[in-house]
Amino acid sequence: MAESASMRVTGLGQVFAKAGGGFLYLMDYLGGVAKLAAVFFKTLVRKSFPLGETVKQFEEVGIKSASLTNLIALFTGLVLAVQFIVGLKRFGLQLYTGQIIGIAITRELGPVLTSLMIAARVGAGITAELGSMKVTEQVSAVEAMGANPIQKLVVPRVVATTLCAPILTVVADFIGIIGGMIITTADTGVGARYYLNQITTTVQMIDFGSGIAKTFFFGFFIGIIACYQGLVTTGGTEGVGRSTTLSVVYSSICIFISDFFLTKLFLLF
Amino acid sequence: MDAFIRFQHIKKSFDEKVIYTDLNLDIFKGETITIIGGSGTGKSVMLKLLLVLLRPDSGEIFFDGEDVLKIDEDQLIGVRKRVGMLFQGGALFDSMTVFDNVAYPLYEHFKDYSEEKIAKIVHEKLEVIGLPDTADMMPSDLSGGMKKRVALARAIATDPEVILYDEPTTGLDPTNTNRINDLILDLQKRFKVTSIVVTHDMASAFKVSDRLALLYDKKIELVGTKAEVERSTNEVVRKFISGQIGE
Repeated sequence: MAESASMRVTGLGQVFAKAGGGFLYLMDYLGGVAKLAAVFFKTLVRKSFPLGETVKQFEEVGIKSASLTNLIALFTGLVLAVQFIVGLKRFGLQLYTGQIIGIAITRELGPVLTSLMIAARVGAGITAELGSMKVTEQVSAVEAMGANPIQKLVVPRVVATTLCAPILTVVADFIGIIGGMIITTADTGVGARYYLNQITTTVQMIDFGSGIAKTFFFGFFIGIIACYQGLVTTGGTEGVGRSTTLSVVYSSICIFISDFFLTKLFLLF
Repeated sequence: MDAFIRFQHIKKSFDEKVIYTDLNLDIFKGETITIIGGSGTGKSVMLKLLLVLLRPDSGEIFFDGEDVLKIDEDQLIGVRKRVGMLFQGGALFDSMTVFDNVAYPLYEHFKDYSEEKIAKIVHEKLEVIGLPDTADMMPSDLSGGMKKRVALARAIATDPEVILYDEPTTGLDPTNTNRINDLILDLQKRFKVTSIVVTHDMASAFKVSDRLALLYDKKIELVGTKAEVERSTNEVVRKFISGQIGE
């Protein structure tokens, strides 16, 4: 009896120890990311801006990601229309599909799905690149030669993800709405002009604006987490793989959690 | 004679792992000193402490009379300008050509240099290391030995007063090992640089050094000239030289 009670306590102790360890890891991680963010802003303000490298990163983050984010947006619009037509038909409201698609894409799906794609494609790429540089001592070499690794490596990437995420989202919103229009006009008999008219009358500037505003934050989180994860990489090529996976996982979680709070925040305006 | 570089009462640990308990070493201008010791004893850490890529838990590191741990960022960049480092794996930037790799420290430290002047220096340095026709190649196109030599060209691009060599011959075949050792001696003779070499390759250590320092048991166990080390009756030194400890 006493033995079983003691085993229960040991079991409970292990659960608390694990939870405590996880909490400490989380705090340590968040502290590390916050510290890098602080150094990023300090460097951005105090040091000369690395324009050439930032332009290069714009191409990497913006132009090279556009086909992927646009493809995802197109199919999101298509599938949303298919699903809403099925649901709205039950109430005889399929004519209003455009209104729902417009709100869903501009407020939520455009920003979140585009950002997730950026996290998967660009965030992973940044972490893999910086992680490889870290384990092969290239980051130390940058520093040893008198350059500032934050200015050279972090600032261009974070600026690029922060500014490219909204631009890609604007385009994705537009393409998603067009995708929805293709299915709505084909399946419900609604004209394209009627569909677009519904969207322009329903989707207000605040809907579109709040969606885009969120992506500045998402882009920043993707960039800073990807850079942090790259710069703390240890353990050779295996470590680079592990860091890259964690970068995508943490960025995605961060996008979903911050999405909730940012949405609530923007509803106040 | 005053030390040009001085490590004084250095303590350093990574989490639970203690690297140094009380490390002291004086390095004089113009000499080549080799730090020998087993794997994981903190040989490379010494080089990184000197460039403040890592910071010790306590102690002082003097470079030409200045404590590098107490100077501001601009002064530290000034110190780094005077020191070139050859990293263990070369640490060449994968995304840049050989030319851009060698030119990198010049762009960083000599912003007023013209493109022509930088190109002239880069080609001169590639000439010194015996790879004059590699400027347009990418690091991935080079062999291990060539990468080390290009990394050396980058380390000497700014004509530093001090060159740090982190395991310069590790992983190289005998021909490339000799080539690198000859380059270290040649640079010493031609430019009178102060060199700190970190290695566990005893043959190379005896070939290139004026003095040797053995890092053992979290401190410098012995410092001496080649002859002094060879004659030493210190048991640890004897065992290290004969290869009984080290790995």
